[in-house]
This record gives sequence, structure tokens and C-alpha cells, in this order.
Amino acid sequence: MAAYALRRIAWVVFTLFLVSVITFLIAFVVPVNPARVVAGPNAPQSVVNSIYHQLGLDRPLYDQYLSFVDRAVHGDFGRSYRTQEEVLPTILQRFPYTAELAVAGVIVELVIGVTTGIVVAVKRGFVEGISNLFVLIGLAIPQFWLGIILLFFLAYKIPLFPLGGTGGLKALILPALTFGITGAAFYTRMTRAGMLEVLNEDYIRTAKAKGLSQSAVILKHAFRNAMRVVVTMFGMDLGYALGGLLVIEEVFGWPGIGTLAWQAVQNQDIPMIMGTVLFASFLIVAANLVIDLLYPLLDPRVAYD
Amino acid sequence: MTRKRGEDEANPYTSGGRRRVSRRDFLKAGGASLAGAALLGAAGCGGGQGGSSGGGGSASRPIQVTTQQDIPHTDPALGYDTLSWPVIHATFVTLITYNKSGEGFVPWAATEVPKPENGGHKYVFNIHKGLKFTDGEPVNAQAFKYAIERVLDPKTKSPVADFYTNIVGGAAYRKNPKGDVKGIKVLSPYRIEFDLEKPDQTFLQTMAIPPASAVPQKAVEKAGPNFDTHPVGSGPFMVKQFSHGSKLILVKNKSYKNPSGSPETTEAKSNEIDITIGISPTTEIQRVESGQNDYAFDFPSAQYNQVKNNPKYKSYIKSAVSNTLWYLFYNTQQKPFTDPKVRLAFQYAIDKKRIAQVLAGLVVPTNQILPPHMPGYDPSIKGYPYDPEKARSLLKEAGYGNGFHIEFWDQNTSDEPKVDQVIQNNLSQIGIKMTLHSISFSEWISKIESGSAQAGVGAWSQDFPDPSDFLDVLFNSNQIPTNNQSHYSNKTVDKELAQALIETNHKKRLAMYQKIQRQILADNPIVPLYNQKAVYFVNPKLKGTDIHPVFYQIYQQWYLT
Repeated sequence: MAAYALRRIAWVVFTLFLVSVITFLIAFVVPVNPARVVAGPNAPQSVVNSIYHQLGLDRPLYDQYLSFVDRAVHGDFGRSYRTQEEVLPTILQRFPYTAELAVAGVIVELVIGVTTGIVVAVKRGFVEGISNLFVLIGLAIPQFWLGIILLFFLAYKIPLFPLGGTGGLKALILPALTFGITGAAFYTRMTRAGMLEVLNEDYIRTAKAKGLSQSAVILKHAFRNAMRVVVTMFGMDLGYALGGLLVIEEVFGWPGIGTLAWQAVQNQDIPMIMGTVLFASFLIVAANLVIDLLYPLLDPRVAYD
Repeated sequence: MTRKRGEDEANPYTSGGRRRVSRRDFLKAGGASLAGAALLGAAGCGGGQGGSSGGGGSASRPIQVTTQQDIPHTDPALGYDTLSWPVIHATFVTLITYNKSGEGFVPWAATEVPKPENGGHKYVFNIHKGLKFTDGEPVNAQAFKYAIERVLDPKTKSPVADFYTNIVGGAAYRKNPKGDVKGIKVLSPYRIEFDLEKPDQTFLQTMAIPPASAVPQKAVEKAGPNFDTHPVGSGPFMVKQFSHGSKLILVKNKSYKNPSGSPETTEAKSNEIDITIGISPTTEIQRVESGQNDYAFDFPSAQYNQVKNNPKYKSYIKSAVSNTLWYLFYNTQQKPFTDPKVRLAFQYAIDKKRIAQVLAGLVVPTNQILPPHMPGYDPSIKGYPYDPEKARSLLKEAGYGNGFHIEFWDQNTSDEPKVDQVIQNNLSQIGIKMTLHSISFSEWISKIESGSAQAGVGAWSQDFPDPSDFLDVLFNSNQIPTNNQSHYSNKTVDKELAQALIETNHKKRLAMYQKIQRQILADNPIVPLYNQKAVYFVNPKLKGTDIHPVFYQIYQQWYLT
């Protein structure tokens, strides 16, 4: 297990290295002079040259990358070209907003998705039809559209919630629902598939034959074993969500790292682009690592040598 | 100056000393929310919480403002866009400022607006005693000297340094910022002199805009780059909190006392203004209508006409044609645009009314370079009608009966492509095949800088209300290719521009610029397309929100009834 964990951590480091190289190269392949972006298009060439030098852009690319890595491992991701703010503290300041929304959104996903998935696997007929319809809508509806609809009806027409922005539980509900409803469809499908697979197993028949109640059979025996696939998805999903709920943050004016990354891209703000991409990548691979390491706890049949 | 809530901003982006409009302000923001516009339309057709709610509340509650774009800067040396400038104008103090119409000056930290001396080479300002920064430092001659030197210092990375290089020693200081700028003399703690290399009628303009605000040296040096988010000013408001992309809160600076007593330099009329950043335009409008907000910066362009024509919203909409120009340019030093007939054909080929239509009425077609509220605007200029037949015959006369092919460069933000498509369609009707390159603002700037853009759409918004800010910037041959994207070069025009810059008789000077404009238009280096409207959605209970020609929003004038 320890050897496996070490191998996986090494992969995490390697993945982040690859992401950093690719992002760095892409940032420099774009035909834009960052010094010009800082100085403004009409600043005299002497000012642009001076800024170019101050930013270290006149050094060889590999040299720039190495010094970036050197600073990054010490927690210094530089300062934003546009706002002059330090990159890492800015990301860390924005991260709680994204984390709050991500956790709330994933909870909504799980509650709706898993419950529906179990019900659909067990029940048939009308309920299944309704569920399929829900899954189709959930899969088809874009997040930005659902967000606008919820805002219109539940914040504008019926003013139950604030019209965007942050501040307390009330402000969190609509963005979390937007994330949850669109994402729940996937959980429904995964849970249903996992449950159907398990429900035909011999030990379920045994459990039923022993006279256990249906709820005990489903929840204690079937769902526990079907959960592995859900947990796998949960890890990926949480990592993705933590990495930045870009669309939902934009729709709801939620100042998380998704909007931060989006603004950085719009502004060709290379240090902030590097910072947000690496931070998001780290969260995604870290979430997956944790889930992988948790497998043996969920399913005793899984063991890492 | 660009309406560059941007950027864009820059785009957010801001641009340099003389600058280019980086984005279509309101339009872009509106376009970004097209998906939600239908909902707004539905609201406009009868839904909603009632336009009468209007925010309610007592006058003492904070004024709530929303904007989709981030506010780029609060540091006077860095701000160069129409979201930053109102904030800086509210939190810092300049020697002089603009009057209500924007066409004249009133003293602010200075005791009076100085007259030029020594044949226009010298300006001396006397400064009011008693003005202080919020950290207790005095606002004196040294603070103003430091502010200008700081803008000139390349380490500051100020995009507006170019404004101050006509001060004796300014250009040298920008290259090598050591010692003092020779032309800025502290005559006494409250008396400062500026010596200019050559007379310049725009010097006072550059003293009235936010980059010339006094800044406290100790606080700036202590904060370093963080001064931009933790500014220490001396104006009617203080920045209480600034979180980029999220929130900016202004609170009344109780220690600020109106030094001149004029209405333009008033104390803040409200205690607090909260600016929430990152809200989509559709939601912004809904927030104002439902009373959660008082002022929305952005307007969904697709629904502008519908909302404008709804009587319910009549008292909510504030609009004014801004001093901006969008234009079609082509390289006049390259074939086929070296031929005057080809350039003239373009004037007849473009359907400006159609462009205004696709931009939902948020723009006004124009036939000249100077915008309607710019001194020197000439209402007698009629321009050319849309006449593709005439355009085709001109091309035929020029030997291009079978048309030709052009490479066209424009930005890819939401509204630019709409304009480009109209132009592409118009040109195809006269046999010109246009390959459109729709690129990001940063790439666009790089392309323009290289001087290799054959044709495209350019835009300009004023830095200050002086005709030189359009005519000199866009058509002087010394601005090729950065701002003079048409590579237009006319030695007579260059000479007359230089003369107009130093002419002291205002009336005569405007007549000179009108003559220059007519000459440029006769040479057809661009096709003027339209001026943009500044449009805001405002709670009718919020007063003092008249749109200023330079600052747009003057926060210190705002109050709730």
C-alpha cells in the first residue's frame, strides 16, 4: 500500500510538471507581448522594453521556466501582470468561495443523483420513465441556462433568493442547485448501473432469502457494493468543481477561482493563468489520489500491493 | 481614453498614453449575456417586481452598484480606463478638474486655474493649504511633483507616461529616472511650476485627469505594488475594501473639505458606495429593477431598444453619446488603397445604418472624426450616403471592375463580429472579397503594432475633451502605425496639427481643427462608422448621476433620496 501511495504521489508530481510545461509553452506561443499588455498598446517602445526586461522576458525560455519552477516550489507564483497582486495569495483568497460552492453543489448532486439512481434501479415503470426524463434534461440543459432560469424565477419573479453575488446560505442555494441538478443526472445513471449490476448477484438473493427487509437489502448490501463507482465519480467531480466552476461562477457573479482564471485568460495575465491552472490541476489529481487510496476501505476486495 | 472595463480589459485592457478603445463597453458586456436577454425581455413585457420599488431604503444606506467587468486600478498612475477613473477621481485630488460640461476647468487643490506664462512654456500653480492624505501627509507641491515623476518612471509601468514627456526633462527621466525632472519645480511647499519643452494647449487637460493626482510618497513606497489595492488618497471618498473581481467599497472621507467651494469639488454626498463586480448584465438590470441595486453599469444590447421603449423603464435609463469613434481603416500606403477612388468607393459601400441596427441602437452613425460632444465637432459635415452602385462605378473607374481581395483584422469580442459581418456583406456587393481575422484584443494590438494590418476596424475614445486627442492621435504621421492605422501621411496636416496645438485663441484653434478635419476627411483615410452611447440603468431615487463627458460617473455627487 505504501509503495502504491508513493508511486501515485510521484505520478501527481509528474502530472503537475507536465501541466506546468504545457501551460507555460502555450502562454508563450500566443503571439502577444506580455510587456505590451502591461504597458498598454500605445506606450512608447522604451517603456515596453523596460517592462519586458523587468518581467525577465528577455531571458531564454528554459531559463524563465526554471526560475518559475524554482519560485513556485517556494510558494511564489509571482504577481499578476494586470493587478500587481501576488498570485498564490489571490488564489487562496478566492478559493474558499469555490470550495463552498463546490461542496454544496456536489452534495446536491449526490443527494438527488444517488437517490434517484437507487429508486430507478429498484422501481420500474412510471418512476423509471420520470427518472429517464430527468436524466435527459439534466444532461441536456446547459449550466448557464439553468442558472439564468433559476435566477429569473426564484430570485427575480419570486424574490426568494438574492440575484447573484455572495453572502450567506441564501446566496449559495441557487448556484449549488444549478451545479447539482446538471450534475445529478450522471450520478443517477452511474448509481442505477451499479445497482442493477449488484442486484443480480447471488448474495443479494441470499439476503432476500434470509428475510431481510427490502430497504436493508438495498442500502446495506446492494448500495454499499455499488458505491465504488459513485465514489470514483465523486472524486473526479469534486476535483473538477474545486478547480473552478467557471460557468456557474460567471452566471452568479461568484468570485471564485473559476472567474479568476477566466479573467486571467482574457487579460493574457500569464502568472495568473499559470497559477490558476496549476492550482486546479493540483486539486483534480489530489482528489483522484485520495479516492484511489480510499478504495480498499470501501471495498475489501481491492488491495494494493 | 478607452471605455475599458477592461480588459481590458484592458480588456480589459487599457492602452497607452494615447490610447485605443479596447472594447465596445456596454455593447460587449451586453452581448455577453445574450442568452439571458430573452428573459430580460420577458421581464420588460410585464414581469418583474415593479419599477416603483426602486430600491427604497433610507438615504443613509450604502448605494449599491454593479458591474460585470473588474475595476482595473485604483492607483492614479495605473488607471487608464473608464471604470478606474471615476474611482480615482473620487479618492484622489488633482490640481484642477473639469467643470460640469467638461469643456472648461475649475481649481481643485490649486487656488486658481493658471494662465500660461513665458509664451506658453510655463504654468505655476498655487496650492490650498490644509488638504491632507488619509494617512495625515499634507497634499502639497512635493506630492504633485512626486506623482508626475512616478508616472514617468518606467518601473511604475504607467500606461500614461506619454502625457508628461513635454515637461522639460520628462522624456530623459523616463529613460533614466534619476534625480529630478528639471521642469517640475517646487517653488515653495504650496507652489509648483511646470516648464514645458514647447507650448501645448493640452497641458492643462493632462493636469486635470486622474494620473496627475497627488500621491503620498511614504505610503506609496511602503505599499509597493499593493498601493493599487490599498490606495491612500485625499479625495472625497476613501477605498475601504478592494478585492479584484469581487468588491470595491468606497466610504466618505470625513477629513476632506471642499477647498474651492465649487460644486465640482464637493464633499461626498453619500456615506458609502458598494460596487459589486462580476454580475452579468441581465442580472444587473434585474437587481436594479427589484431594488437590490441602484446603478447598473452594463446593458444587454440585444434588448436595449425593447427596454428603452418600455414606459416602465423610462426613468431608469441614463444615456449620452460618448466621445468615441469607431472607424474602418485601410493602409493608404499600399495598393489598392493608394488610389483615392478606391478609398472613396469604401465611403459609399458601407451601410452605417445597418451597423447601428445590428448593434441594437446603442450607437449613432457618424460621418466625421470628432464625436458630437467634442469641441470642434462640425454639424455641417454630411458625409456620403450608402450607395453601392456609386461604389461599384468608382471601383470600375479605378481599374478594379472585378473587385479585389482584402485581409481584414478585428477583435473577436461579442459585438465586433456583428459589425464585421455587415462590412463583409457590404464589400461583397461591390466585388471585394474580405477575409476576416477575428482575434483577441492583445493579438489585435500586436498585429497593428507590426504595421502589417491591411484593413480593419479601429476605435478611439477620448483621453480628454480636446480635438487634438482625436485628430493628432489618429492622423499625425508620427503616430504610424500604432494609432494612425491607415498609415495616413499628409505633411500639410502634420504642420497644421502642430500649429493648432500651440494656438492660444480658443475660437481660432477650433476653426483650425475643423479645417484640418475637413482636409483629412477629403483624403478618406478611414470610413467613420459610429459613436457609442453610454447607457446605464439607474434607480430613479439615486440622484447626481448625470453622465460626465470625461469621468462618466462622479461618485461624490451621488446620493439617495
